Amino acid sequence: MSRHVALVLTSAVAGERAATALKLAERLLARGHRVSVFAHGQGVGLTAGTDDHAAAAAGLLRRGVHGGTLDWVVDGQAAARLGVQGTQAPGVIPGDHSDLWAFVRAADVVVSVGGES
Amino acid sequence: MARTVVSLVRGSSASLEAALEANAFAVAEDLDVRLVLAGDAVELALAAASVLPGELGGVPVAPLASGQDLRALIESGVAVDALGDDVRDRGLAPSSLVAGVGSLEREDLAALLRSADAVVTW
Repeated sequence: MSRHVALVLTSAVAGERAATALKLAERLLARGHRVSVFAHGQGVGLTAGTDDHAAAAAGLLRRGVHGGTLDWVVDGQAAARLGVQGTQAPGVIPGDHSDLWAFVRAADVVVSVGGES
Repeated sequence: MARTVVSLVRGSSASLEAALEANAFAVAEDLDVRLVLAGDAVELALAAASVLPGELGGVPVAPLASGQDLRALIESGVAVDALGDDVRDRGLAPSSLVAGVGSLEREDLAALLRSADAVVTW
């Protein structure tokens, strides 16, 4: 059964956590689930620039185009604050925190990646 | 029926203030949000904690007042709790917290997380 999964990337998403988030998104998409990603704080950097993580996210977004199975929204204010609003991967949409809660409301499962441990 | 969401704010990151702001947006959605402050984040609930407007290097610095943000959340209907252990560990008196902030014991946190439809961590 296809499920809708909201993936929330908060401030501390980097390195291994970023790779985990991307792998999780890829797995979910491969299994036919719908994935909605909201990136907040430093998490907006994951899809910015030309590094491996941004390229991987762009690849997932390209794959999700057919069937509209992947949404990726970044907090536009955070992106502007970090100076990465113009370097987001194609398909990434700038939004605000109302998108986050709309994803949380609509999803069957919510996964938060990041935060303090 | 509204979905119940526990929003767990932990740690001491400078982005915690931003987390409070993010939670304010939940009010507009059909969600029953309960905000739980844990770790150093319990200090966000201090009623008197605020940084007055100032100037740094000739540039005006905006005041920070997490207590005011929390009051606004509570008035908007968001339930806010601070972990009792973490409040006590920091030598804070419950009376020093913003009015309306509840106390949640650590042993009750797991049950709260289990009962929620979704958990968002910050």
